Amino acid sequence: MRDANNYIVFLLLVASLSSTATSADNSEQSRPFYRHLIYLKESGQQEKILPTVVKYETQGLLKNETINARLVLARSYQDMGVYLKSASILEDLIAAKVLKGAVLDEAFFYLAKNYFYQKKYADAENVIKKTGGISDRGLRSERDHLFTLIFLAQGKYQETQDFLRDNWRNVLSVWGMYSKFNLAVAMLKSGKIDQGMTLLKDAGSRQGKTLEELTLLDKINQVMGYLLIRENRPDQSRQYFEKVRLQGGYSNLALLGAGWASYMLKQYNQALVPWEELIGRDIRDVSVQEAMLMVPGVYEKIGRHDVAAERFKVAIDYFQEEFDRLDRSMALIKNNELSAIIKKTVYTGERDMNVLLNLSSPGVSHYLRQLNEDKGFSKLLTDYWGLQSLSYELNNNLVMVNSLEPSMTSIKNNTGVNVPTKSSLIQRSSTLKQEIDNALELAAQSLNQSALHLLEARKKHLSEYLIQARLSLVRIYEQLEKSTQNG
Amino acid sequence: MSRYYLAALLCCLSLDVLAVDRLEMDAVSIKGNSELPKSLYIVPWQQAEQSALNGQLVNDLLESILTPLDREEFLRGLVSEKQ
Repeated sequence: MRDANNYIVFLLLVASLSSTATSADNSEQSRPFYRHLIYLKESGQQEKILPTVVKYETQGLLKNETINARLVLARSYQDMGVYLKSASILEDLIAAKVLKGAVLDEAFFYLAKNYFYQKKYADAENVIKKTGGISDRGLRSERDHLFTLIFLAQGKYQETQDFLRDNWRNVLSVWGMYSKFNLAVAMLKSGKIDQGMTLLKDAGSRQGKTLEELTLLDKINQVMGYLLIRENRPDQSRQYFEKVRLQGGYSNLALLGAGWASYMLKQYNQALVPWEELIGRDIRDVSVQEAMLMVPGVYEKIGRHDVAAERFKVAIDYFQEEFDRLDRSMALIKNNELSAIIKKTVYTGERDMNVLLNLSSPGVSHYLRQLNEDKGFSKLLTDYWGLQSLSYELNNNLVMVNSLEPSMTSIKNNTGVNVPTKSSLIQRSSTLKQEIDNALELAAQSLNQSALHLLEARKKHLSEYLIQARLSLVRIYEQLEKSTQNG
Repeated sequence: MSRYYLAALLCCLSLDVLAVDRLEMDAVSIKGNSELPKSLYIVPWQQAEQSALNGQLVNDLLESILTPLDREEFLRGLVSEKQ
């Protein structure tokens, strides 16, 4: 992969050097082709960028924009999760010293981001420190955000606080919310509980307009609520849970927390309100399962043993059914059914959760959405689809090389530029395709492993609820029997 | 002369102290009524407390939700939620 890359960098250096004499003309000529790449990037057609860059480079169409095109390509690879390839392009561009000023800063920034996603945190920190005063405000905010993530990932909480204290006021509003949240995390993790909570409270008090801001506020209020529960201040925590929108992604955990706050205050009837609402939701959610266990527990507390027994029985049935379903799904995944379904998406061309759900058997589809809520699984799936698209496009590229041959010969004859031969292009594309296909296989295995690991964790949680519910039911039956004897 | 009497008296007293009486005792044996049923009643002095149900999520949750937010990841989550 490295050789193929060096070859392309060599090509772009030749192109950039040979173009300096007539740079003004070339710049005008090459701009539409470069803009086409930008269009592909902005419209989310990442997988088309590599074949297009190869095609334009081969035809000598990029001229002055060759370096910018390579940067676009590196970012596309990064978006598709092909980190090694993306890093290798950026490292080569930086080593070739062809980048200057803002473009060089941009390359450092994307390389740091790349290392961060590869979990090479020390390398990421070294590289991001090389970015100078980025003039673009949006990119600067993104850079500062990445800076804090790199510090936090290494457990450098004090450095995070120092950095953000100096910088978070400068960042754009929505980035500022993330910065405040991350600063609060750094403070809380380093034991500065009151300061961290004050900061969170401040971040959560603003008005949200967009869906992103509203969801972010939900997240902040949810964390505040649970922090106050941990600090044994349930009376205060309830108000934060109540701020979380009922239809948002954080509502289940907020309802659970609101119930716990009332339960801790021994206001059992009030605890029933959010928990009864919660148990009407999807049983696959762990917070719903916990509410199913707690509702009969509340009835037992308030002396309604008959209702408690009935509700515990219902919960046990639900838990048992869910337990069996998990077992069946895990057996299917162990049989590679999940990876087989994901592989099928290459033929549909569309890659989102709905397509995947339609292709799956009920046993697998039952947990797919829940699995995708896990950020690790979701990232793996996105990366897999990125690689899959790239492999598909490279296949097309191999077919396309034949039709490019006349243009390549014509360029060679007219300009004398050493254009790659058909066989060398086919070899390059084939090598790339082989590497991408190997990566695809590894990614499919990782997806399978991740799914099994997540379902196993759910099963463990559920089995603990099941045991608690059964023991509670036995206890209630004894109490009911005793009261019958006494009565 | 009186000194000899005193010495003889002291010797007689000390011999009295050294002479220990021995008492032979049998081992104590307690016999119960083997015809009575063998059962034990423990009377609770107060009502047993209801065993607490553990809110596993509440205990474990904070560590998992108190993680830094990456905007890119957060937005990806929003997209999949919309689907």
